[in-house]
Amino acid sequence: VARDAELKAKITADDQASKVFDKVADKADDLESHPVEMELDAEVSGVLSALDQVAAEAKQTAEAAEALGRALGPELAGKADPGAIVGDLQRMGLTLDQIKGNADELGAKMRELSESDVGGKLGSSLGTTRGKMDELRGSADQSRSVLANLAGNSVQDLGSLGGVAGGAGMALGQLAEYATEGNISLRGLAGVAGPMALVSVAIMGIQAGMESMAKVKAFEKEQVKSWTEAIQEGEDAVTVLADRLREAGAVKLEQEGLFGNDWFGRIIDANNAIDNLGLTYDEFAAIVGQGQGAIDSWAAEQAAAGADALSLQQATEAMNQELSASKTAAHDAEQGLRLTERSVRAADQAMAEFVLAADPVKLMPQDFDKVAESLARVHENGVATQEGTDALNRIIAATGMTADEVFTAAQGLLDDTADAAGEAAEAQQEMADAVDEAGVAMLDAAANSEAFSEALKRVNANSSLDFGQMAQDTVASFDSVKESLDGIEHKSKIDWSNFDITPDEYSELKGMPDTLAAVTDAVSGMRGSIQSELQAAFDSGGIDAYTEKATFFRDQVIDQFPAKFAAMGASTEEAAAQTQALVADLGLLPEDVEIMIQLTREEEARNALDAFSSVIAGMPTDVQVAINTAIAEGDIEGALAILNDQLIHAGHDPIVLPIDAEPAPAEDAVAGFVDDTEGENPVIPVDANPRDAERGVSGFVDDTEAEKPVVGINSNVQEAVREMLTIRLLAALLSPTVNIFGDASQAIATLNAVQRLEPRVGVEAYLRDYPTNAEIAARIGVIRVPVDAYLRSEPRITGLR
Amino acid sequence: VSGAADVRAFAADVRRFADAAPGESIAAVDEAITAQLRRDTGGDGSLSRGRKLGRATTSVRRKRGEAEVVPSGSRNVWGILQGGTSAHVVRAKRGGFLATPYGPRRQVHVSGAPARHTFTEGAATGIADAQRDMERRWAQLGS
Repeated sequence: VARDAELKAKITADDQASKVFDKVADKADDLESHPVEMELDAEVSGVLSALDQVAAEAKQTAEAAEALGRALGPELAGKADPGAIVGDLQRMGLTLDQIKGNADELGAKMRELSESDVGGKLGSSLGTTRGKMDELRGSADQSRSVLANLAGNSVQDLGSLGGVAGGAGMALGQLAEYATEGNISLRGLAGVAGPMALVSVAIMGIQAGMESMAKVKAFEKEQVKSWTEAIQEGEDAVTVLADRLREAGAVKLEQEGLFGNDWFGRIIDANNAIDNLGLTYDEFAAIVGQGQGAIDSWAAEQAAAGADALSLQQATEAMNQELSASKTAAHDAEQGLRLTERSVRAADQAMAEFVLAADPVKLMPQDFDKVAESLARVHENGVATQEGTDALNRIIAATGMTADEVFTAAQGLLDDTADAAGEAAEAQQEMADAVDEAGVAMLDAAANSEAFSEALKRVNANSSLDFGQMAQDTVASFDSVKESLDGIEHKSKIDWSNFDITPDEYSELKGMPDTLAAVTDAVSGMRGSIQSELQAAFDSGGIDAYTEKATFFRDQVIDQFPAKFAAMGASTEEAAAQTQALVADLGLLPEDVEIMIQLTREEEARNALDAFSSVIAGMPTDVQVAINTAIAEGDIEGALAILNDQLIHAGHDPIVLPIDAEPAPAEDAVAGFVDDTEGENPVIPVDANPRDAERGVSGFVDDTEAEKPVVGINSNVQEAVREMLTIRLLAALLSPTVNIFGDASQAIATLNAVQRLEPRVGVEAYLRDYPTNAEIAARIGVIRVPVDAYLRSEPRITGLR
Repeated sequence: VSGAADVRAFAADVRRFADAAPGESIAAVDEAITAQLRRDTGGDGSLSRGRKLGRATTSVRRKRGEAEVVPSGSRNVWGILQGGTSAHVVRAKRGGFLATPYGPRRQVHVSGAPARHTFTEGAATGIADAQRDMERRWAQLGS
């Protein structure tokens, strides 16, 4: 099914009406060409005698009409029908003699009536506007009444009419007689809605989408339900399937709908395909029952035997869908997925208690950190910190753990940190080595910055960190500008001394030819691409990356565009000037970059000072004055330097502005894992029995061949539950010291319980916290490397418009 | 002119109407769907956060006695507008990054977008317009 064939609005005109009118015309022709003939007999003679009397009356009527016509006056007599008025007056009870004798009075009254635009029969006779309209309406009504009869008959009846028999035939004959007598108004015909009903308007694909989606869902559900029941009741699945097919009388097949989802998906009957291939329901079920290999083998045999391709495709798809439903059912049945709301809540509660009881580290993270720090000091110099001792006592008091248990947990934290840091892979080692080379013991913040920046450059040079997609956009923008330049007409006539490809005044824009406007647009796009890339470089690599990127682009423009302008006819000097102008328009001049860097530094410094405002308030007055003076003079970085001096003096780390964080190695490790597992769409089994879950997780972990898979769970369950479970999963799966299966199985079991309607748990990557702070600090002493917060979270893009 | 000839002429008008009216009145449907598309996309038929998906447009096909409006341009955009999306994660290729309003990312989580039923909403309005248009044309027959 072509995907776009389903969604459409269609109008069709199924013309049954003209055929009906043709028949009317034929009938009218007959009536007109065959006048009625009568034989005279005695009875007829009597009639003729009576008609003579009528003729005499007619003569009298004409005389009365003549008299009345004179009385009406020439104007009214011109449009009125005196004969008809006489008839009207007779119907009112006057004799012809009375009319003749009182013609003048009656004429005066008629003139009066005419001026008041009387309607009805008399108005019609008088020729008043209203009267004529009434007459017309009467004619139309005559049409309408007949056509209403026509419309009352079904289109099928009308379409099959061969003559003028039956109800519709009577209507046709009636209509034909009216036509013959000239009583049919074509305007009246068209004004009647009846025949319009014979032109059908079809609207397709409007409502069908939702209905088809519901049908597909129901079909899938029914398939799985059928298999599940068979399995649970211990019946032979193949027999059950064959019986089901026989009962339904068809092999059904779900066809993918619009845009690859169930929207406009449909269930089709694959019986013809099965028949074409000579399959019985029993044979169909037997093949499905033997599994994927049997289906594939059967399909290959059929193909080799020259079976009809479409039939084979449909049959194979139907088999695969049944097999898939059976697997889902088997999986559910095997895992005993019969969770109730109550069990969900119980599992949820159990999980919450588990987190608190089984993992006191999560309960009192800060205290455990202090114990761990103290433990590290003990390892270094044999002296514990007082803070660590206090924290140890608080943990023992709160949890009832023994000191040994607390130390074991704290040691676990240290090991985790060490392992996680080690897991940051080779690139991080490169970075550390580079830092070592740059000089570990540097105390000066500026020097640290420079050394660290150098180190990162070296890492960046080897890392896979690139801005591939953005770079593509930028490259494309370069090409767009060149193509638009190629599109300029009459290049030889360009006045290069006044040629400005990026006009910025209205007078320059006014009257600009389209080809030049295209250049302006292209340059604008190029500016946008470059600025986006510069922003991204700064976000990920700080000032150094920004500067490097800006320099790169500037060099590229200077390298590529002079030749372009020269090829368009510019002299060397003119080409250089144009290129320089382009560089300026793109914001790539060195001074532009400097301004950006300065502004950024000041902003960061200001943020840092704001963050430390309470600390500053507690400093000696002269220090406060010095800092405030520097701020007042606009020397934000100077103010920060004063603050840092004080911090270092007090034994604290100085504030280091965000310089660089190198996320690539860890991110790539995660990405690699994700890529490896993406195609497999791993399914974590569901059961209240942890052992089953353990096996599932174990299999999953084995499959991924990742020692420490970094996974999270994306689901639609309540946010709180999800967050809790995600944390637990991360901790459980990441940490080598935690019993991976014990924790993960509960987390997964609980999550799956909550998600019981969707028992498949999709596993997606989460970027884990990148524990470089401690590592770097440990290695080089005073530098703190803020890890950009955004690397810890995946941004959520809200919807699409 | 005889009454029969009048009726025969009218029948011819009806045939011409049936042949031509769908093609003439379908413009009302197209206009309504396009107007709905503009309303739902902010004017240009593309998604502000999915420019790379392209633009959705419409296409009108006319034949004797029938005419239809079908989605054209970006099927993805039509799919999202008509049927919405479920929440999903977009990942960059290995070694690459996604350009997001928050800076480069390995992956982003895109929340679901509600179905706007753009085509069907527009079509429902447009078909009603087209029907009125066809009735007006019908009423002019024989005049």
